[in-house]
Amino acid sequence: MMDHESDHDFEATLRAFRPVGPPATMQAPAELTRTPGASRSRVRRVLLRTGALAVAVSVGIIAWTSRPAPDPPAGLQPHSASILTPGERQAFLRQWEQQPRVALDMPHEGAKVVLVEFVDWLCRAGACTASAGRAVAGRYAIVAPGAVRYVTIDYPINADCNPAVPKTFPGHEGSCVAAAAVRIARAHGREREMAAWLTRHRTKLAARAGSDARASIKAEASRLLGTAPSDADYAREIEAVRRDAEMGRAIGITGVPTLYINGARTAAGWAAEHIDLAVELELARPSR
Amino acid sequence: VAPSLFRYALMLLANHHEAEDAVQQVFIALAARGTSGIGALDRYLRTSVRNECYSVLGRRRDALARANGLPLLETLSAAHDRTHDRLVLEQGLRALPPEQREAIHLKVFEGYSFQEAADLTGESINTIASRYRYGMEKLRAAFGAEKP
Repeated sequence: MMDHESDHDFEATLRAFRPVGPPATMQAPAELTRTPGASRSRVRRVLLRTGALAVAVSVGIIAWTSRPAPDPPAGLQPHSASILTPGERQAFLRQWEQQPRVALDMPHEGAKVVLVEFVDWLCRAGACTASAGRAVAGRYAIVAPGAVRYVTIDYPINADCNPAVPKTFPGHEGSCVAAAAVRIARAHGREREMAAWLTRHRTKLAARAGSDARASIKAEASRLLGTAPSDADYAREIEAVRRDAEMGRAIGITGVPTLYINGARTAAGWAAEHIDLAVELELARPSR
Repeated sequence: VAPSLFRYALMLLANHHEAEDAVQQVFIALAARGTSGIGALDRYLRTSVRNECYSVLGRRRDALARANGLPLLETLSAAHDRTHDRLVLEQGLRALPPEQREAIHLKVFEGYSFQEAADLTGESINTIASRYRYGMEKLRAAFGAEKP
C-alpha cells in the first residue's frame, strides 16, 4: 500500500476507484422474457421501470452535456484514471466529435451503438485484464437494454494466424488456437465459458511451451463442449481468425485490445469514464 | 446519467438494494409527472435522488450502513491489483456518516468543487468542507491503520 501524507495524495488514492454502477437487478429484460409465468402487474411494473429509465437516460444525457463547465478542482490530473470533471467532459465532447470513423461493416442487430473490440484471448498486459468494451456493454445492458451491441474481432499477436504480425510474441503461442476455440464454443453457445476459462488461465498458458498451451486449450474446449472438435474444425476457424486479423491490419490495428465505438477508435489508456461518455454521445445522436 | 445517479445513491446509502430502489423511485416519479417545468433536469434528478436517499436513511433504525456483501467501489485501472486497498476503503466508507460519504463522493468521485456541492445539497460551503475534511481524516486513518 502506498503512503498517504496529505489530502492530495489520499484523494489520488481514492480516485483510483469509483463507486460501482447499477447492479444486475436493475436489468429488466430477463423478467420480461418470462412473461407467461409472471403476473401482469409485475410485467407492468418492470415495463414502467424500464421505460422510466430509458426516458430519464435520454433526457438526462441532454441535461448532462449542457451542464456548465466550472474549473476542474485543484489537484486533479487531466489524464488520471478518475471521474471526469465537467471541464474535462466538455473537452472530450469536442474531441469525440472530430474523431475519424471507419466502416467496420458489423451488423447492428437493432443496437444504436456497436462496440467492436479487437482482442487476443491470451493478452496478459495490464490493459488487457479487463475488456473495456464488454464492461461498458454490460452496464448499458442494464440501463438501455438492446441499445449497445458488443462484438469481438480476433487479432492474435501470433504470426501463425495474423499476417500483420511478423513474429509471434512470447506468451502468445496459443493465441490462434485460443481464438479458434472461442469461435467453436460460440457456435455451441458456450463462448462466455470458454473466454472466461482463457482469462483465468492465460498467465499459466503463456508460461507453457506453445504445444502444451495449445493442447490445454483444446482439452478444455473438448471438456466444455462434451465432444472434441476435430483438427479440421480448428483449421477452419483459424482461417476465419486470419480474416479477422486481415481486417485489423486494413484499419491499422497496432495493439490489443483496441475498441471502436460506432467506427470511431478509442485510445489506449482511456478511463472507463471516457468510454462511458463516448457511448452516451452515440446513444444521444439522432437515429440513422 | 442513471449509472451516475445510482453511484450517488450507493455512496449515500452504502447499500445496493436500497440505492437501486431509490433511483428507480425517482425515475418512476419522473415518468409519472413528466419533465415540463423542470429547468435543469440533471440537478433535479440528483436532488430527487438525494431526498429519496435521506428518506431511506431516516427510516433506518441503525445509523451504520448495512452491508449486503456487495462492493461499494470498483477499480478504474486494471493495471494493478487493488483489491486489498478497495476493501479497506470500503470498510472505512461504510463506517462514515452518510453526510460525510456524500461530501467525499461529490468532491472526489464527481469532481465537484465545494461551492458546487453546497449548491447541490443546499448546505453551506463550510458545512460541506467540514464534512469532507472529517470524513477524509477518518478514512485516511482507517486506511493508514491497515498499512503493513
